[in-house]
Amino acid sequence: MIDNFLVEFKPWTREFDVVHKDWLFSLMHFKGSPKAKIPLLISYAYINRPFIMDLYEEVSIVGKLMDAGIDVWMIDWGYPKRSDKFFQIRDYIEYIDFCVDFIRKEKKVEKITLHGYCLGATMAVIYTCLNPEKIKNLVLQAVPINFHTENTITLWAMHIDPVKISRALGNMPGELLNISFLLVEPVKLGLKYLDVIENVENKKLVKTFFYMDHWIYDSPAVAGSVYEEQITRWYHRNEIIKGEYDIDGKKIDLNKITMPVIAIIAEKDNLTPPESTLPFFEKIPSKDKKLLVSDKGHVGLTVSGSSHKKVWPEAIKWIVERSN
Amino acid sequence: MEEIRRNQLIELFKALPKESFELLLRNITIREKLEDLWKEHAAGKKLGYGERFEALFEEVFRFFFRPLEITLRGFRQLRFLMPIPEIVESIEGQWELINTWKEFLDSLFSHLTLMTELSLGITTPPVVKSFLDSFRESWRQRLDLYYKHYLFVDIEEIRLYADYPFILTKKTSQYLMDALDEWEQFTEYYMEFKDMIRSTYREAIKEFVDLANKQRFNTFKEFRNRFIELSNQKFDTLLRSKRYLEVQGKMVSHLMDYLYRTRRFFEEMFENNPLNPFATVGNADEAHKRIMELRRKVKELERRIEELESKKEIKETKAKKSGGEKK
Repeated sequence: MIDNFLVEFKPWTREFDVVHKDWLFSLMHFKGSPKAKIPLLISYAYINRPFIMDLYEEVSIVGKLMDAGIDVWMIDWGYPKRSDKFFQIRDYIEYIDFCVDFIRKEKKVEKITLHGYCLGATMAVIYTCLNPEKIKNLVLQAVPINFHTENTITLWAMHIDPVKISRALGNMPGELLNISFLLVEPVKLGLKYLDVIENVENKKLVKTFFYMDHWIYDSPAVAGSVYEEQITRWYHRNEIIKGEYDIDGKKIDLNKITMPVIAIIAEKDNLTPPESTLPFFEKIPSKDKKLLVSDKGHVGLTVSGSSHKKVWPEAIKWIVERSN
Repeated sequence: MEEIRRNQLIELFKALPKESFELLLRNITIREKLEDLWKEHAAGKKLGYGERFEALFEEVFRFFFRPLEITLRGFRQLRFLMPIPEIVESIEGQWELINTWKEFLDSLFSHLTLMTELSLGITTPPVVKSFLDSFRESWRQRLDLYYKHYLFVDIEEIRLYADYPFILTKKTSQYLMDALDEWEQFTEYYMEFKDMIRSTYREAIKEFVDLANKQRFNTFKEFRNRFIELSNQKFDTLLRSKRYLEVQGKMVSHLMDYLYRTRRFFEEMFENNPLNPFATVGNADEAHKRIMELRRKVKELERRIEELESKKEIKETKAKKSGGEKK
């Protein structure tokens, strides 16, 4: 039986080149023969690894975008170490700007599609408000913009002093973040392996289960200053939705989002519940906006079979239609 | 599970994330215990909250409690540094006896060394020693001298431990005292946190046992799913309650302050010791902060230069064009 548990873990189904590296961050370009004119840049959340977007063939969003003729690029935010404690959110936004300019120059286009996921989508929104002229379409997957929601993780974040954490630990360790995410449903975690134990003969189930586990437990730390800013300004003060957030003194004005926008959310998302996206979605002035809802949770939105059957084909069709 | 042979566990450990490995093994134990309970239920026996449900609690929550328990134990390193007056007093009282014992041990050691060298035939006259041996011996003698003069532990040195508060800088002692206070606060909140979790679990079990004793679960899957569902409902209420949020927040704050102040205590000690050859984490943090600020300044300057260059280029192109038109 144990042989079935010995799953060889090989994420990334598509080949890519790392075309640029800057200290902690890097820019990846997936190898393919794109047909669409407008390239797409994925800004994934800095609290997990981006290979969830290309975990295995059946649920590879990168693969499906490429098969639809899209030229896909992706930012890897790396693994911050103690020496990266002083990175700030503005450094992340600056790197998005670098990547956008790099792609525009390389592909000789004025604008690109920016695709953000979770906190990477929050940064995509911030970036777009600062540089709307460079963004053709905005794809937002489980994007938190309104941080004053009633989900457990938010309530916990409201009662945490992030300065004390970064002062003591340097960065917010990934292991600690993981424990908090898992403690939201402690008994469920304590028994979540029962399904896999009882279905050990089902190789596909075992493989997908452990692929997910590899992703869940591969958690980079969050740079200390980034964590302080995220918890204080985004969660405690809810500055983005209120229009009070700024990068280097430049205010983030959501009214700048006039380009086509697609928001893809999950009904049972306990990290980014629909309430964290909907007020933002209603607020932005874009005339071409679409909302897609999956009946899954935060992760299921990306890797569940049902999301790939019902949500992603429509999302990819929407992107393709606006990529020429 | 019987199928998992013990010698295969290492292979499994290598293949899985360590968290998955641990949780998988714990889940196997949990399943066995739950299955035993279900078998009793299926046989028509009444269930009660007992040792087996308590054992389940340990398996389920060990993963969450362990990091905090490690911090509780980690406090020992500070305790060892604390001067204990009773020990100093006792050493002072027994000093003559300790000294006599030490002299006896020294002479016994010299005697045994000589006897061993004689029996092994390695005691050779200095004339036949090589230069290398002579050098080694003179080096050892020099070190012996150093140890005898400077490193011999005597009563005065022991007394110094009791003088810690006067030896350390005021700031260092302050960090130590603050760290101890924070640890105490953290411990109190941790105990309350653990009690809340345990009592919520017990409440869930009580409700589950009452339900199981009233209604029949036909399959094990039904039995365990209801157990999970009920527990999750109870925990969802707890984890969002006002008192829990307060306790968890304070527990984390005091834990972080304990860690920070303990580190600062050590850093202050090292930074004030002229023999210390190492930079502290605090020193490195300060350096990294400055490097980061410099990096941003360089990037800003690069950006401005690029802007100036492109303006210059535009100007030159315009000038060329207007020059051409004139001609």
